[in-house]
Amino acid sequence: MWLRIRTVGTRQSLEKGSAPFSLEVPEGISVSEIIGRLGLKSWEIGFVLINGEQAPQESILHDRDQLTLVAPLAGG
Amino acid sequence: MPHRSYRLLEVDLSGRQIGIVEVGEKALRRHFGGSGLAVRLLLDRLDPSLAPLDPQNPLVLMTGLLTGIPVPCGCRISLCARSPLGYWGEANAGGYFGAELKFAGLDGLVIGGKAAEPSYLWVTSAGAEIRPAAALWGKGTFEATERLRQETDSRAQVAAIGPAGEKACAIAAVVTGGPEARVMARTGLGAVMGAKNLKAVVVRGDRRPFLFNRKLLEEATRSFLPNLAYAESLTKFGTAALIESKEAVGALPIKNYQLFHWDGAKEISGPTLVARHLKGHYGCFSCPIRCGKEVQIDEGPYAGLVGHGPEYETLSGFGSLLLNKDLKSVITLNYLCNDLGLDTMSAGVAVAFAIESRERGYLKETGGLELEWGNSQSAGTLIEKIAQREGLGALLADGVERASRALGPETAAFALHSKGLEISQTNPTPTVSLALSWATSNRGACHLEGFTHQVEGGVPFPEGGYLEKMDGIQGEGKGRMSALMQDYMAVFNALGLCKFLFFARLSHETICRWIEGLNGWRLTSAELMEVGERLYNLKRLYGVRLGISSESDTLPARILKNLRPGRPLAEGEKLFLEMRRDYYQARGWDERGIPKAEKLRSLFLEEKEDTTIANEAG
Repeated sequence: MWLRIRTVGTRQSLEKGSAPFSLEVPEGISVSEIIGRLGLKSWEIGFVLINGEQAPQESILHDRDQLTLVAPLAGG
Repeated sequence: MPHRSYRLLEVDLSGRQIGIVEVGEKALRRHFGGSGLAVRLLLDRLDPSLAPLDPQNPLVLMTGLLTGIPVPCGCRISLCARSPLGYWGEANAGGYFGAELKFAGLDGLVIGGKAAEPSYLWVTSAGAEIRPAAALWGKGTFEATERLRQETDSRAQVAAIGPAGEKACAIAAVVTGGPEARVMARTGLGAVMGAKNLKAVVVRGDRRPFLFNRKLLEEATRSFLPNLAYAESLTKFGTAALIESKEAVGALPIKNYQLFHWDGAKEISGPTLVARHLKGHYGCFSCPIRCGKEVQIDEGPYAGLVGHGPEYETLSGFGSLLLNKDLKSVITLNYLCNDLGLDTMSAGVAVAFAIESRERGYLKETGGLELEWGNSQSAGTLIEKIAQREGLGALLADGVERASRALGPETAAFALHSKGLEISQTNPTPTVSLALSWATSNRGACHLEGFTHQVEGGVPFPEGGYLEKMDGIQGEGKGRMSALMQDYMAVFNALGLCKFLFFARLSHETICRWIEGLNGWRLTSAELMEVGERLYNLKRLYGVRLGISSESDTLPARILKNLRPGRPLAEGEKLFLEMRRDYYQARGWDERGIPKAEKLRSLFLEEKEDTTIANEAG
């Protein structure tokens, strides 16, 4: 299945931009597994949005889900 | 001598008297220092019958217990007084002023009365004197700082007011460091200095504080330092790193909190600021994070400007809040406020309120100003008028609550404040505890008194029992969490530590080892939190004596509505009131938000003077 993913506010996205990209993944994959696949640590993600709604990192993803991974709002 | 007591300079500007007050170990251990010890002193001296800007009201500058001590981010100083907004006033800054005061052999200043003419206070290790400053009255903080350094010592640290403080604006700040601008911004305490005819406090010291056990302190620091990886984005981009994250989750305030998403976030973001304008990084005393950014503008109408880079709150307040994508103008407005001595956070909210009032027809006369979203030029003109109390600026100079009263009750829904203090820059939709934290904050709508949205944003608070990210949408459990975080943040303010250490997972154990290294006290995590709870309740008592109750612990309709966007206002109100009820219960306060006698006894029982306070408040 395919996901549309965007990371925001992580070290990686602050340095290289946060443009969305598509990723093919196996059925039944969780958000936390995606976080691992992207080389991110779980503490680097404060908010998970699936199709614009907040969700926990254990959430299971579905085909064509739009996943936004946002760093903790550290500061401000 | 172990640092187990506090040495304060007491200054009577009216009588030109200067003396020393010692605070003993028992009181210090119960309040630590910073705003904790300050509230103890100010509550004891509070006379509710005096007007907020009556010069008899004292002003307290207090270092934290760990300010000026070589621990990471031990840099902060608290400025406290009765606020011109009417209630508890507290501002806080990093930089070097607090450490310099410690190096002058002092832990704090208590300043009363009013000088007969504009003056400044010159403090060194050898003593202090009140000096004339008539030639500086009317000058911006940058020029005043430079000239005061020329007059005293080029390495002196200066805390100065600008025209806004002189004109008694209730959103006036006190600026340290000149253009480096580490600002004691909130609750209008620049006006308190202005009412005392006090242009500045200038400090130069040459004594390093005694350390009881340097080895222990250094070992604790060494084991903590790897945690700074958690704060890496702050080092690279400053708090500006947050702009796009907040926009992504709907937390960036846009068009005076009317919208949830905006295509201009990237234009005012940390990466854009760094790529286009970074001149250098800046760190406060003993700070390894160095979140400060010095910026410059090379071209365009603001070419040549070099100054303190706008932080997240200012980028949002002069950027997204006003629908302004022009980053150069945000840098310039920040620079302008720092020089005029205005709180950028309140100024942004005031400008947004004026624009919306104009747009909705409640503000008829603008004096020729084209008040419109995205017009940074008119924002700049309005800010100058606020600082000078001219024309439309006079309407806004005391903040949006009073401006709203003048324009009519229809404007109250979008005059964004609590207890008169303009709200900080985060829409609470994805982290609802922030609304509770704002409404119950002792100084008004301040995110830093609770910092609760961090726990909903994935930063653990293990000593409070929050190991995992707390759900941000639901209200359940937010009362207890908010009370604990407020207590913990009160400890940070009393110790003089930067709250960014919270992101770096600073543990209670490390804090206790630092304190033991400083003066030999062996404290526990429970004792730290007990001090925090005591300090939060003391500040509440200060407010209660001035009329604070549940009626004051509220927020404008727009913010309550934003707790449940797209739903009737009543749903947001219900959520808020449920959280507030739980919060009062967790605090041991009654349904009107007044601390119950048994709660006060549990915090102060053995102290005669504290029992007196309990009786008065109970």
